[in-house]
Amino acid sequence: MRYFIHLIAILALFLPTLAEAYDVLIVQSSRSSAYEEVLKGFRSSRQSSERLIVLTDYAEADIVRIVREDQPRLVLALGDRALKATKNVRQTPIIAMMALGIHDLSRNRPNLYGVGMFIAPRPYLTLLQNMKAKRVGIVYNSAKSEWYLRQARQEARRQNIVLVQREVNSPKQTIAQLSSLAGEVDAIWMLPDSVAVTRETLEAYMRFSQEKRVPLVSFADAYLGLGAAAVLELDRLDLGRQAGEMATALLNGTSVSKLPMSQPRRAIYKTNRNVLKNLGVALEQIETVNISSSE
Amino acid sequence: MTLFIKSHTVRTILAAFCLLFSLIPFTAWGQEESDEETLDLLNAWQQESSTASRTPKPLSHTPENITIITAAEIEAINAHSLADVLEIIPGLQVKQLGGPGSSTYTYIQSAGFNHTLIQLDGAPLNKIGNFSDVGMVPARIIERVEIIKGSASAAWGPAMGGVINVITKSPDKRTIGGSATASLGSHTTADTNAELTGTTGRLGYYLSAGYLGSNGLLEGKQLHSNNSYAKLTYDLPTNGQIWATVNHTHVNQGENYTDIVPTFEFKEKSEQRYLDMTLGLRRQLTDRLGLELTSYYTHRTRHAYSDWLIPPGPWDYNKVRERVGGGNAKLVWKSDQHLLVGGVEYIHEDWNYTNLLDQTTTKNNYNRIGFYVNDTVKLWQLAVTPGIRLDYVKDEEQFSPSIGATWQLDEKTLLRGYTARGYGYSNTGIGSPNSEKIWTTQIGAESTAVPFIWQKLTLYRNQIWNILDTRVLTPNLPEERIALGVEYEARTTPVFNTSIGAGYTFTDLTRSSDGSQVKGSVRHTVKILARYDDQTYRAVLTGNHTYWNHIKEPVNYNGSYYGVLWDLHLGAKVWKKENNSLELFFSGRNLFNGKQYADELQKNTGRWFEGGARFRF
Repeated sequence: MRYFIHLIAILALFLPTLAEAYDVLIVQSSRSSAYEEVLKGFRSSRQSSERLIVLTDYAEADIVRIVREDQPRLVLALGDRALKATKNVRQTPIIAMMALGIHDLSRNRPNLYGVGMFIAPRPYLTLLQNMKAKRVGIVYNSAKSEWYLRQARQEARRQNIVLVQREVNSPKQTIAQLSSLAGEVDAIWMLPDSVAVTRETLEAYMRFSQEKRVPLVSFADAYLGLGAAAVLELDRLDLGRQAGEMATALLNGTSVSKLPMSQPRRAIYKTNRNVLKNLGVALEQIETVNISSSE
Repeated sequence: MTLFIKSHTVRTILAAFCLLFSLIPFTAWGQEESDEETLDLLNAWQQESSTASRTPKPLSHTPENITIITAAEIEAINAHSLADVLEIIPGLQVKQLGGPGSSTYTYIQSAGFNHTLIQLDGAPLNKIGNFSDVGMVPARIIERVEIIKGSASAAWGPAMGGVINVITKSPDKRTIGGSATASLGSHTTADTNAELTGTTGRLGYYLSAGYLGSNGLLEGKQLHSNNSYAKLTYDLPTNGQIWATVNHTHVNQGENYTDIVPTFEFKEKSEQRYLDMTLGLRRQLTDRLGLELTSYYTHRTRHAYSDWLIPPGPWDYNKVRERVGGGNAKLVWKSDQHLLVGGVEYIHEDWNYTNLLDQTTTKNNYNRIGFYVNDTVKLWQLAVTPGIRLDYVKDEEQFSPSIGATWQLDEKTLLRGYTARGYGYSNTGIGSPNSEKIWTTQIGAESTAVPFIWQKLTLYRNQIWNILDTRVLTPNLPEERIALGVEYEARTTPVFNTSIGAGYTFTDLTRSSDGSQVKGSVRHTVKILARYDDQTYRAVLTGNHTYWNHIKEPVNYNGSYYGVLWDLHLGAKVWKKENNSLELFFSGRNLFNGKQYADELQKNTGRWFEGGARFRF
């Protein structure tokens, strides 16, 4: 019995006693290491009291009610589902990350701010230029990526690169559109476009790169092992830090309307040396890309 | 085959978790797909992988029955050694002869402990008697453990029961980081350790040292051990890596078997030193072809002094020295449809046994060379894995073929099938006259079709022959046995930061000659795990029941068979700042004083408690 009394006493010590007021309500779509990494960066940039809601842990999490009752000063939404769950939060500022749809939603939600998942076109195009690519193929869906393509076209003109664009409305069109790029391009630039790049079309990109001997530049480390020549991927820790700095600005009184929607400020640059070697692309040229990078 | 025996704890436990799982679907809900799409896009649909065929490949292409456990799960159960980690794995039976760090026998799906191959950093841990002491591997250095349940000789050689592959921690990507941990429990059971890890330029390092000791959670089971571990990695400029590891352990154990059985009273003291070193190179030769070279050297010594108490006097004073050296070279070729692995493995082991009372010495040695090749062929939703291995051991030639397949039925369900021939030696050092042989066949399915529950079912049949049972006094002739078994695992996704999981394994082991049951081998194993984790507070409750099937003939070992061992582990991060945190933790082990052992000389520990703190930076 003595042991059990000790056990109960220790249990009581470990249990949170009373709900406390907090600054930041963190709404996370699911338990994923990608979100955890972003959150780690966020926490490292600012110390604030917080409450974490992981949506997959709840049958129905009423975020609006939680915001109304707890009155956090800020909501941090991690993931697409989290972003949707905060749709009816009108007054409290929201910082969203790790959601592909953030760009479209931000137009109609004045209290929504955040960091997108698309790295700015300039470092990609600088990288492609260093590969001596003059004509770069892009397969995209206009509903998902037209806003980004506008920026890319502008930057491409500045760097004297021709973007050979192929629009798709469904993943089924991707293979045919990729084939139509044969002989037309010196490189392929893969976008994080969930219509143009799917599990079914992934192999077609890699096969095109191998068979046509054109380097493929992608957006995530995982594609290197599959045959991409180089990637510029999100630095998730820094993404979190960037959001943490925004949070600090907002909590210090900066109006959301004065803060523009951001693009990630730091990219991690990685290459597949064997693919580059096979394609005859010199490494030293790649390493001159002017972005904050690590390998 | 009798599935249910007389009134048994297993029934109660099974009924409880069947009820629990049957209720969960009604509390489940639909899931948004867009997050999965985004994460899949970032991960390029690359899934969790295993190294069952000696190189990483997706679990969905792995036909073997695999369980993987990670560092986070290990930390959640406040584990001291690999033995504590294996305790919670469905299908595994662990017999710890004392508290943390003490000698431990590991069984996979009822196969003998000396048929489980344990690998640490790619080097085998098995020593004389083919015994691998998983109690000697500190939990703090482990990044991931992959367990292959069932014969895996086609890739790994003598591994009739399966393989436990321990992958140690890689250097942190920061320049410097680490942790310091201290815990204290009943009978002055203490575990203090520190880690230092980081990367500077191309050089990565992971250094760790610790003390694990106890004045004895069982009568006369003292243990004091020191361990130090170092791993260095160097990234080559040309797409490759060199690594080296050194693991040193010094253990003093003592005063065993005193006052347990009045007619069998003796005391024993032993001192053991282990030094394990590995050196490896991994290099991508072309975009499709990779090379990996691994070499290892192990030096182990054990001094043991056993004295009779009545009448007092020396019984056995001995010194054992073992040296094991070996290497493995393999080529991996990848294409869109194939993952081809081929390699050669060599191992040399020599040992000296010296009787310190009469100064006589016995020497022996053992050589093995094996050649293996396997392929994973992807054909739409089907992945087929054929493999063969040829080993030359002493005067014997061992041929181990296998073929397996996985079929992704739909997005939520995967079917598996695997059949293989394998072999093993119950004692490499002394040199048993013949190897034991196995033919295993396994089929199973893994599914998330029931919302929010992951389930896995495996049926297996093992035909084992040429077995010499040392427990049978006379006659000691080779015999054949058939094991028929089923294993079911399930776990839920977290709800309110809480998840539950359970596993049940049943094995019916009979002699082919007369159909009689083999007593003393595990028949039922039940594992239960409930977890809460909100990133600040965590709690894990585990339940473990192993039914060792009564042994009464020819010797009654006076076992205790029906106990369930319940452990509770709690943790709280009381301070967090950037990369720094302070965590307090507490464990209550065997909360209800369960008794679960097949032999009164090998009793399990009773209820005990410990608490501690961990600082990370």
